[in-house]
Amino acid sequence: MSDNEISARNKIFPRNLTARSNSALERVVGNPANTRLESGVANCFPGLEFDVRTLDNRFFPGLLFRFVTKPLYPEEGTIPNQQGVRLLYIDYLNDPMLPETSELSWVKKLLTDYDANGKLAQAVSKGRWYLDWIEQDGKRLSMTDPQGNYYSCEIAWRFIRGLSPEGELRIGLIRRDALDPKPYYELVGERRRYVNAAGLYDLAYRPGELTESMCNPWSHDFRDCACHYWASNHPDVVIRDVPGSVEQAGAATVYVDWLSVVDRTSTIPAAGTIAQNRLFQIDHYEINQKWEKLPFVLEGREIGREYRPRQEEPGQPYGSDQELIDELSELARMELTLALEYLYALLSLRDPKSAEVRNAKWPGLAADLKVVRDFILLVAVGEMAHLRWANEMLWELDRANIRPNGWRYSPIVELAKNYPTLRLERRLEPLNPKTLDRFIDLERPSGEITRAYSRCVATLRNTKYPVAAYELALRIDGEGTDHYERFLGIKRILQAYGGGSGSFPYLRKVIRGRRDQTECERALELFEELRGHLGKAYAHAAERNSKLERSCIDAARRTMLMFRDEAEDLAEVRGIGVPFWDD
Amino acid sequence: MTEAAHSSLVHAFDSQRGRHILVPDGSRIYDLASELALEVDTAVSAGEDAVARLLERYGLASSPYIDDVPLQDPPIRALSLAVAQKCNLGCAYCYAQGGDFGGVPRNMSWPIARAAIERLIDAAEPGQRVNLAFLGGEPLVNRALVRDATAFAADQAKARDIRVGFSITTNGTLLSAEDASFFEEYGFAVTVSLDGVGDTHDRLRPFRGGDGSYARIMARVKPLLDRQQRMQVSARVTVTPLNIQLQDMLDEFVATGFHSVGFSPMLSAPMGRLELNQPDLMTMLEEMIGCARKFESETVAGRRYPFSNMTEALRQIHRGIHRPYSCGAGAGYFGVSAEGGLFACHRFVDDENGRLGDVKDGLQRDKRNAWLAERHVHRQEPCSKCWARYLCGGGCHHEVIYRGRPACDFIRGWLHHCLITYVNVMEQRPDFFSAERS
Repeated sequence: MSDNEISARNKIFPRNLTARSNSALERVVGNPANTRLESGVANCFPGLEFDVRTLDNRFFPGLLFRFVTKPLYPEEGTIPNQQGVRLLYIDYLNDPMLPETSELSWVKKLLTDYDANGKLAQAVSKGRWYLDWIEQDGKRLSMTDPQGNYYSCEIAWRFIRGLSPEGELRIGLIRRDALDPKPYYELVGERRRYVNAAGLYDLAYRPGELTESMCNPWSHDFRDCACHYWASNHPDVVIRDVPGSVEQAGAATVYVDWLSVVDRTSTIPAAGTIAQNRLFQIDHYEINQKWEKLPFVLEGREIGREYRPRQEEPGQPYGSDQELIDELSELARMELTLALEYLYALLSLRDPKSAEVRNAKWPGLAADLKVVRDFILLVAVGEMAHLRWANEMLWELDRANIRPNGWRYSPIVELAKNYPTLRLERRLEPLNPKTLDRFIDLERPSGEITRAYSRCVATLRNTKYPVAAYELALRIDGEGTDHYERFLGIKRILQAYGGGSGSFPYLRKVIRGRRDQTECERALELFEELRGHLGKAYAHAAERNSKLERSCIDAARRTMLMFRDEAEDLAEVRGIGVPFWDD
Repeated sequence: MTEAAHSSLVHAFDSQRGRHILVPDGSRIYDLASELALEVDTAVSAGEDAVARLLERYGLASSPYIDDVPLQDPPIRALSLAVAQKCNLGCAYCYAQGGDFGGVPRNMSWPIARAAIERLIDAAEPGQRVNLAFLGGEPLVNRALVRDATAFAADQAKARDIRVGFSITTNGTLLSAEDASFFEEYGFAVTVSLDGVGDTHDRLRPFRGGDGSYARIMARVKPLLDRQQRMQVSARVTVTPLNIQLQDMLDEFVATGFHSVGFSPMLSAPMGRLELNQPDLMTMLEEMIGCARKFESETVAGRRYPFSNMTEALRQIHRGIHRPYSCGAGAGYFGVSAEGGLFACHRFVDDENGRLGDVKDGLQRDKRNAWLAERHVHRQEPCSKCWARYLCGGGCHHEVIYRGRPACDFIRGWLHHCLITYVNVMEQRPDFFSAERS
């Protein structure tokens, strides 16, 4: 932005509500909405959403201070007398209180002092400079007590907080680490008004500045204030990170109270009410003492080790509309086929309610099987959602007249013969460790599926494509590592059940049926019916006929339930796995 | 209000406080330091490109608040029932042509009213607000239906946790003390059509037999005015060449105790009678501005002066309302005819151009979406070149279709004055807007 532009922008004042919100969007990017004074916690505990002390870091125009505390356990050789209000640096170029065109004598004087060649700027570039005193209405407050000891930052901050926004403000700056007489400057100005008439923060505050000192000790105020409200980035319940331990494998599934105990191996499940959880929670003073023991939580899980964010490899856009459509069609077929691989694996697991599981020598087997089955089902359901979205992207393309070589959308509910994108064969296998490793590999975050979707994202980003398709691709691509981590969790759980003899107590004895086998007839019929309903539902959705779409989806759901009963029966009673395809 | 050059991207105006601009995109209003005023004027004279560059430099350019995409299938939020397509008055300019909309006079039946109400309630989610209006003709000719429909709608809404507001527009001649209790119980917004004080009104709104109606109306409205707790009783004046002296009328009605008083120009009458022509509109604008000045001085002095054209405009300007349509006609609002036809609004009742469905089978989706596409302000000319397009929304569809846009200068002149009043009132009585916002 040129000086000309900055200067013009400072002469325009938003008046009505749309103008104000537009300016807010434009100018306070980075300081989130919840740092605005009026959006404090339910307006009852203002200031708890951010550290109000950061406002005072810029209490004097053109200067940035930091409130420095005395170290509790100083290292040997630590420089003494660091506490107080330390001057970090001069920051005046974009300070709205100091426009170069100002006629005010104090502004002109400060601009001269702050100039890089000015005496003050030269002086403060060396050594440690502190606020020495403040003066308003002829009253001066020193930053040292009558015995000459430096006040702590908390006390100094209280003095500054008490300054009036009206009237002249004088301050003294001193270099503490120099020999006597210590270099010394006196400045005259006015205290910053933290918000303007529209309620927006003064533009001197940089994006992100107001939340920068937020940390857990701060949040204990929430408990002090009895509001039982945690800032939005504080989790209530989390899944523990319990690496390696076979005994703790089930912990991967239990939600515990994040504040429950500082011993991070406990897996007492969180109870449903505050009162019940309160007994096990650390107290607020403990939050201060042990805050660094409360781990970071991302995506609902505690992060015990170094967190490696997903590598965002920018995908390579597909070369043509045709290639994009071919790839999306391929992905749709793959999602359905994967869902069936997972379903087959799910059906190879024993029924946790069956007598043989309940009477097995493994006391935790029933509970673990229930969890593992739920996990696989969730992943399979996720694949079905992707199947729909892949179809949806295709019909959105059709609607937007992206129709290379006369292509038109028709629902894709067929299976893939293999996975060319993944360079893998499709398989129907029971959930033995080898199969599990294969699943983990398939869903690996850096794997080929992710890459394929990131290419879709890169392609659909082009505005010639409908935005709905782009958003769907983003959504699939952004789903993260959920499937992968669920399979890892399953692996941790099932590791407990050895299998030295090559047999596994969690597996049914199931052999894959043949498609022409009479026993499999009903299940296969139901499966075909299911595909039929899905295909029709997508066709109606593509034509925006939501009523018919819904009725077909309902029919598909009903059929799915019947199919599941039939397939469970087939596996449990006859030991046959549904042959979704022949090799 | 004479400006040398116009821009569709910015509109400058001066208040007591100095120079301001309205940026139509988003209806944003900014104060300018005086040294920028010349820059704006220069850019406007130099043309749209220069204005666009200026907005960019000021940091006021943004992605458009309103795009070309028309609304599609918005849910119904308000219906007006033409419960009686007949009337006991014989107003010369009536859009309903004596209440019968040019057809045979008739009443709405209960099954039609019921089907309409069910359609309205079904379209709403719990917690939302809908509105049911009773219009005519003269709706109180069919009082029994008004009562049954109100009670039924209130019950249905309560069961679904939907809030329903009621309104009725009446000529006031048939109001009774029981009506007052009934309207109060259900919190009606009652609008009484009055076209002047005494003889002026009588000349424009006589009984069919020719007698004046003013004395009778005022006697019957009085009990309602005395009982405005939940109910609000407003006066609405249709301005014709015969009643264009507005300032005394406004004072009189405000003093009478109406909750608000509003004026609307007669722009399209079925027989063309009593429509305002260009000189009339300029006279009306002067009168409106006179009323606005009175409003401003009263408001600044802290006295309530419910001139609804102004209070509504200020509320919208403060919020920065920007809209692609002038009203909800055919979008969230429909007029239901006595036979159960769903029309774009009450003014289109029994007009095939505005028929978009019926209460039994619902809306004809394609026809309705075509209507919305067609009526989008970006499709209207010369609206795209007008700075007031998102405040005005393109003008009343009925008037535009049947008479075109004879009143654009009037609307711009009025809005220009409203903008000035907005800044003046905001400077001196900011509390006016905190009350308005609630």
